[in-house]
Amino acid sequence: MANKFGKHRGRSPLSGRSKIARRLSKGKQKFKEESPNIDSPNEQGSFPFVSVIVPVMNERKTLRRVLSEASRVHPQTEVIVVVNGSTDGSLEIARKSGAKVLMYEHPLGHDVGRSIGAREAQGNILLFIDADMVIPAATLRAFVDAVTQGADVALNDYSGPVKKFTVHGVVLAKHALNQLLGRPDLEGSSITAVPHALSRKALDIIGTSALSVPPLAHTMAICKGLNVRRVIHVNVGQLNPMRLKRERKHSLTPLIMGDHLEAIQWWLRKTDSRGGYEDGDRQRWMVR
Amino acid sequence: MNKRRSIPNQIHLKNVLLRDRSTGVKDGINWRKSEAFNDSPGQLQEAAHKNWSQYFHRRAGGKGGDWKVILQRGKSYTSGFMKGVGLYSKIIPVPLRNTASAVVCACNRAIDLQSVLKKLSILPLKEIVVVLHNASDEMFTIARNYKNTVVVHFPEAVDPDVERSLGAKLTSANTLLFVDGEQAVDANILARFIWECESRVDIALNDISTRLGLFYQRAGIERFHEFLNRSLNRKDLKANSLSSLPFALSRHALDTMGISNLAVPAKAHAMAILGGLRIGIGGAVKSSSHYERSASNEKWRRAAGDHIEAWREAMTAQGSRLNFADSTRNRSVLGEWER
Repeated sequence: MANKFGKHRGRSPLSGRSKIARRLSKGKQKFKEESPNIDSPNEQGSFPFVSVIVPVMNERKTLRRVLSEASRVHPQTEVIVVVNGSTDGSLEIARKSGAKVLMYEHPLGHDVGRSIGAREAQGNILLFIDADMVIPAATLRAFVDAVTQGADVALNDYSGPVKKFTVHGVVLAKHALNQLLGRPDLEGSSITAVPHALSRKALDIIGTSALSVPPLAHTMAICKGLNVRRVIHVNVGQLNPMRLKRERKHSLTPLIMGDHLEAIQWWLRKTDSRGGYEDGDRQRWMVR
Repeated sequence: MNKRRSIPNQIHLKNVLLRDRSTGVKDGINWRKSEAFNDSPGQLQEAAHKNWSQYFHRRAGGKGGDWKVILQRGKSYTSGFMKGVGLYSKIIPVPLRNTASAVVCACNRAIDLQSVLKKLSILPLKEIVVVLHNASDEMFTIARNYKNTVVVHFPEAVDPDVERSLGAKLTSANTLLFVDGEQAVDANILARFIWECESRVDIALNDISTRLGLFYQRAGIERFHEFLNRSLNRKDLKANSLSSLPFALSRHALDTMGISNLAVPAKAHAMAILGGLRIGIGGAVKSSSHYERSASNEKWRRAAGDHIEAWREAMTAQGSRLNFADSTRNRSVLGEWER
């Protein structure tokens, strides 16, 4: 597989594997990994209308405020926190908040928490946010409202910094993918960015697993004819100085670039060698 | 500091140019006396190109160097050469070790073809392959008027990308310069594309990126080009690609990509990168038809399909994520995937 040849920043996959191997020899840790602890407050028989999914990895600083805003999005809201690889006390904060908490000892990897959370969600509408960014409930409500009004995928109208000659790789990838999917109107908006909301229908069509590779989920949504639209602009670039710091240390750019390619490859497999685009009147047979 | 250093350099260059010129005069006189002498302008041009190439590669210091200086020296030598011969014919010299040809796909405007060929005729080209379709007698006459043209004609309209690759099949030169049949480009500029391809790279692209403006103002097609380059780890190429004329290719490049793949420029471009070809810039030409091309819906859809083909090619070679592996996600916890 291509995975072998990638640039590994941070841990190498080999060192990761040896750790897992060590754990396995110690005991039945593996099963603990695969079926998480679920901490759920008593439900009073009422089904939630909105499920807010928040993956958390060591985000103690902002978590309390993030969860408080999330819980106020709708009167019938369940907040699902997917704590993974956290050692900073995030877990306790999540538990105290009254949210449904899923706990994984090890980091799941970028955006895998979205899939895990979505799997547990019971709401008609799923709202995805990050734990390191406090977005007011009123702002989040706009995404929920968009789905209530018929959107299947309600995106943050955020395209990143584009008034430049050379844009960031992720910004380029998002624009290129939307253009390739025939949705240039979406500009650089993507499921990759939070906040965004999905209808239950969208979740059924996309499936929970693909949410771990957001550009793939984005591509599936568009190709399967879901109603995908931009809602309001939330400047997640500016809100996130912590992320900038992390980006310098351990860049996510190669991962997200790869995600976009994986999305293109999925599309390729679902269509033909030209992604369903006609060849016009090019007489290829003339040159062999 | 800079100024100080540049003065002796300039004096040095002046001396070099004078020496080149006097060598040119000498060689011109010798050619006039030789049996090969012929007073047709075509013969004179050919002799001047040939003598300059020989002189440059044997004695004038050879290989690399700044193209501007090489061009200046060539002009100095060849003007001396013509003085020595006693006849004059305009040329733009490029010191070639091997042969170069041009491929022109003409659209149906005689005036454009005329001016394009006029520019090409002063370059050291072995052949100029002119691909015509539905051509008028006038177009034929123009194409045939030049001494080294090879004219191909199709009774029906053929796609320009296909025409280019057909044209490429008809010449055996080592370097191929592909130019737009609608837009005449100064021969001095075209000369550098040939030179880069001769001396440094396998593919000399047109640098359109500086003219594109800020990212958000660009046409959708440019996003494909730029993302294709970036996904193949060639951020340095920006939005430049084989989709923009003019460009020059080495024989090695043609063999690596396969001539027939030129019919799908984006795919050829990806194959060139995947094949490890040396890809650089040959110059910056403002391409008028380029913008026109970006405009229509049909062209956009076609570019999308072409790029899908390009990625498909790349993914066949390097896997679905190319060089951007996912080594951090624990996908095993996800269970079944919609594949």
